[in-house]
Amino acid sequence: MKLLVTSATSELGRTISEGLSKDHTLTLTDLPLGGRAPRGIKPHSLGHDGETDSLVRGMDAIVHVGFGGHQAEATPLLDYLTRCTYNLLTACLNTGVKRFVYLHTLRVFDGYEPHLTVTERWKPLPTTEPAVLAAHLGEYVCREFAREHPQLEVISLRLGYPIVPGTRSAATRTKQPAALCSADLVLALGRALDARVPKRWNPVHIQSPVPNARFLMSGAESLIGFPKKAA
Amino acid sequence: MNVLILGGNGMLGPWVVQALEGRHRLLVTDISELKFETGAAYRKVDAGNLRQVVDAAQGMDAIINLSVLRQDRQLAFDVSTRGNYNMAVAAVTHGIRRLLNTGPHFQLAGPNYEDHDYDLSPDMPPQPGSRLYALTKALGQEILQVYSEHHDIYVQTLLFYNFYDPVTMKTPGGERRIGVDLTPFSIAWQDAGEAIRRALEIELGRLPSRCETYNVFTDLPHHKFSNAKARQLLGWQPRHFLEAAWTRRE
Repeated sequence: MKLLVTSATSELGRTISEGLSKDHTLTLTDLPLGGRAPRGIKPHSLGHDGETDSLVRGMDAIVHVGFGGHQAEATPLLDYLTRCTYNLLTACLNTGVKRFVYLHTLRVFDGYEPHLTVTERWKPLPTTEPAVLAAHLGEYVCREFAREHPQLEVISLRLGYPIVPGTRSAATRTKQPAALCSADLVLALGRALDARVPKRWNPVHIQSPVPNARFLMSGAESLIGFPKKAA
Repeated sequence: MNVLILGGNGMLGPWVVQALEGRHRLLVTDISELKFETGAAYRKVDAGNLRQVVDAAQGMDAIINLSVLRQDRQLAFDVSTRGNYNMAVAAVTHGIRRLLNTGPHFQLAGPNYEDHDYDLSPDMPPQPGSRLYALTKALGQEILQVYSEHHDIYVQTLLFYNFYDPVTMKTPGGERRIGVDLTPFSIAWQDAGEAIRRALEIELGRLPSRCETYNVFTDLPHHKFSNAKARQLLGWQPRHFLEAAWTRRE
């Protein structure tokens, strides 16, 4: 598939780019930060002129990093994850790109007690921490576009935390009940890009299957076949 | 109360100032020079600028946000979305508990509701859809909702749509509607200002939660939306019913 990956210079962006590059053709983009862009990165402001349409045109899917990508103070972060998400989705509509994967965080469920069986059916409870609030608003934009536009297939992968490099044993070693290893992140994202989804709006909870895991994975299992490994 | 008004130059501004003048000490702000006569204090403030809003809010007991920008995509997010973030941060910074927000009805009841349903209440989960105006205002509302869940602030949002001069039956665009029906979310300017006064002066302990929304329009026979909550909770009663628009002429 031809994929556009945003916030590609971030640690999360680099992790998914490396993981997806074997099977997909990637266009990596990030906001212009002055100076020379890192090698392989196409700087782009994701504005509302035709340039975002040009960036998106010809892609099979967009991977838009919400939480854990763009690092900034509250004002630019809120602007980026609301307005630029809006611009990207508008560009998808303008250019016929159907699949849009938004990378969000399971931290929006921190407000629930650990013994509760939190699934995709539970209401997110974001805090006012700018990174969490901005990512939540970015997901809000995704949901409203999906609600209104039947030509879109939007998947919000709400990712476990912390995200650690390596395999499931690395996630287990953290002793964090919502940990996600990079191998599982790439596996889940790859499946989300390929999966046949029955609805326009598909929030999915993703964490590694560590002992005493915080989140149930039944939604991910039925929608994208995660966390089972491929045969 | 000391009341900060953001976006005071908007269409609703003069009517809100008229309803509050003499009862409260007002600081009217806007990004542009004030366009109407008032004895209230005025300061140039961009609602989309965090520092300016926080500075203006010092010493206030309440903030009323009337600001809105509809067309330009950057400005719409700056003002309609982050304007509310700025108001919330200013409130938390200065310990201001009373926040009033305004917006169009479709920031809550977007096409998914409005095209299909009746008796639409202000307590439904928002479905603004993806139109710029509706979505940017809905995001601003979501910010206030989240802030009200984590801080000791009380947010009241008054939803409006079409405004009328009840004598001429003209809209702000100059269109006169007599016997041709109207959008069933319409109100006279004076009644809109009065609703905001009621919300400003309500005892906070009477509010069922720290984030309440009202449909604010006059009593209309359409049964499309419900204004019962504004009437019951705020004790607000419209005085102008705009019946010339929704009764047949012959």
